[in-house]
Parts: sequence; structure tokens; C-alpha cells
Amino acid sequence: MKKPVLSVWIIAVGVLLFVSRAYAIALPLQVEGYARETPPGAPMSAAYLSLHNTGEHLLLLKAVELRGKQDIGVDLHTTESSDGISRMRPLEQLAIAAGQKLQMAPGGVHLMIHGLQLREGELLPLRLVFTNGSSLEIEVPVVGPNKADKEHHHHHG
Amino acid sequence: MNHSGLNNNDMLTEQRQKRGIRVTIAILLLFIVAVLVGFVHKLSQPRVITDSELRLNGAVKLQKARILDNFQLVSDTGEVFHTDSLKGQWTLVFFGFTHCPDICPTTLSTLNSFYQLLDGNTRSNTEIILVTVDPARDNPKILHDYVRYFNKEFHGITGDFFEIKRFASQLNVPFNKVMLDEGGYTVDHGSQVVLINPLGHYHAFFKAPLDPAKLKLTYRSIRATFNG
Repeated sequence: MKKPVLSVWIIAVGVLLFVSRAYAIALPLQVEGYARETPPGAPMSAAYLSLHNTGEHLLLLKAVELRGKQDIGVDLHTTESSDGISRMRPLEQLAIAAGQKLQMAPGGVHLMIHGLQLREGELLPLRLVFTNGSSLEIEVPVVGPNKADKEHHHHHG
Repeated sequence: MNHSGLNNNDMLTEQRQKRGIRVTIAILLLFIVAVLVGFVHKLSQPRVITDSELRLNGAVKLQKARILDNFQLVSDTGEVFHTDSLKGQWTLVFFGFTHCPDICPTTLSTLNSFYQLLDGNTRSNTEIILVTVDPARDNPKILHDYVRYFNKEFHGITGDFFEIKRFASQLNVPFNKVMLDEGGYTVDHGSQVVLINPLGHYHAFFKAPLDPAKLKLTYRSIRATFNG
């Protein structure tokens, strides 16, 4: 009597674990991007991501963290340009509509990274945190000044 | 006799024909080389475009270049930088600051690409400078290292806040300190690149977003039509 119950429990827990794992992996988001090396003298740099929501629901990015380093600031920012003036402003959150691709780019939406000197060739480990409680861990390469510019043009093309 | 005479005539005609072909080929080759040289020469000459074409490519030339009042700023090597420092070469001026993660590195990187596109002669009398709009945080040492990171030939300028403000106003570049909710501040600033001619006068400006190829086209055309 007791034995079947125990095995059923084990299977149930196993299935649950598998499903939750699969769910975490299957956050319907394709992410790629790069960060710029921090120039000497500058206390901050920027990273640019492309976020493709392949799911059927709106995703709201509410924060980005540097994995393992709570004291490093990663802020969602945008550069607005109007009437020939550039204004940098923080963003509360970033909406990625179902089926849409959000492209961060120099002169527009970007992640500001301060408190850390980024060096060309390193990988920047980031955690994207969404309002629905899910999160996604990614790594983006750090590129030098002139490569970043080419990358920018490449993405536009 | 008769037979061999004919043979001689044949050989002479053949030689003449051969010579004729060689001359024709030589003339053709010379012609091709001349066309190629002309083409390459034309390519290396700046294309002069009209003011409206300049505008279409993001550059605005002033009707009349503006003479700048005296100002006194500090170069990133600690020397005095004043109105006369602008004389003798073309100068592209961008206003920015080091606590600017996005647009300032983007612009300096674009200016570097543009600078690399220029031929040696043009480059040798083209100066590119970053004037800080945040002199409280950007001292000469910090600016020096920051600007050289993008190109070793670029220079940074700092100085007294009000002197910078006065210099910027003369070039129609607005800037404004803005407090951020998250703490600290940022500086909103004009995103154009200003062009100063070798007389030290405000000559033209390039509107953002900047593109290296368009910058090269418009800058070389403006230079070609300058008769200072």
C-alpha cells in the first residue's frame, strides 16, 4: 500500500522539477549584444542588447544586474535627441511586445554600467529581471572602441 | 627571281602589318592608362556640392562665417587654449563629457572613423577636439587619456565653466546640467559637430546623427569652396 504512493510522489516531484526547469529555460526570448570597453578616465560604459520576444505575451524588463556583484550599477537608460540636443534619461522598465524585437543601439536605448572597468575580450555576465518574476542569465562580449562602431553599423544593415 | 621577289614583298608587308599592330596596341594602352590616371585623379579630388546638397547630407554652412570673441580655455596638456589656437587649420569641435556612457563615445568613435577616411594632406591640417561641458569632473589629465583612447591625434579642452558656456554659445551649442532622481547629474548638450575654418571663424556645423562617409563628403566640399 505504502510503496506505490511513495513512487508516485517521486515521479510527481520529478515531473514538477523537470517542468519548472524546462519553463525557466524556455523563457521565449532571444538575446544577443555587446558591451563597450570603458575608456580611460571614464567611470562608466554602455552595453547594447537585442531582445527578441518569440512568445505570445508582453515581457517587461524591470532591471538588469551584474551576476555576482550587487554593488555594480547597471541602469536602463535612453538617449533622446530632439532639436539637436542629446538628453540621457533613466528608464523605469522596458516593454518587449509579443513577437517583437527590441534593438538597443548607440544614440538610443542602452544599459549604463558604472563602477566597473570593462576590458576588451572579457565577457560581461548579466541577469535580466522581468516583472513577471522570471529572469534570464546572459553573457555579452566586451569590444574595443572601433569594433563597437562597426557592430553598430552591422546591426542597422 | 620573280618568285623570290614576291616573297620579299610579302615579308615586307607582313613586317609593316606587325609594326602597325604594335603601334595600335601601344596607342590603345597609352589611352587606357591616361583614362585610368584621369579617373583616379578625379576620384581623389573633393566633390564640390551645393549648399542644399550639403544640408541633405547633414551639414549646414553659415551664410557668413562668424568671428569668435576672445575666450581662454585650457588644453588637456595644461596649456592655454584661446581664440588664436584655432588659426592655421580646420577644427572640428564636439561638446561632451566623460560621464556620458552612450552618445559621447559614439560620436568620438564616428569622428575617428571619419578621420581615418581622410587623405594624409587633408588630415594634416584637420584638428578634432572635445570640449567638456562638465569641467567640474573633467580635468585636463582625465580628458587627455579619455580623448586619446579614441584617437591619439584628438585633443580635449576644459576650463572655467562660464568661459566654456560663452564659447559654446558663440557656436550655438546649448548645454544644461540636469539633476537625476537616482542621484548625481547629467548634462544635456547640443549633439552637433562644429566646424571652424583656418581663420578661426565659425564656418559650418554637422548635425547628428553623424555618418563618417557623409562627414567626409561634406567636409571636403566645404574645404574646396573656402577662399579665406
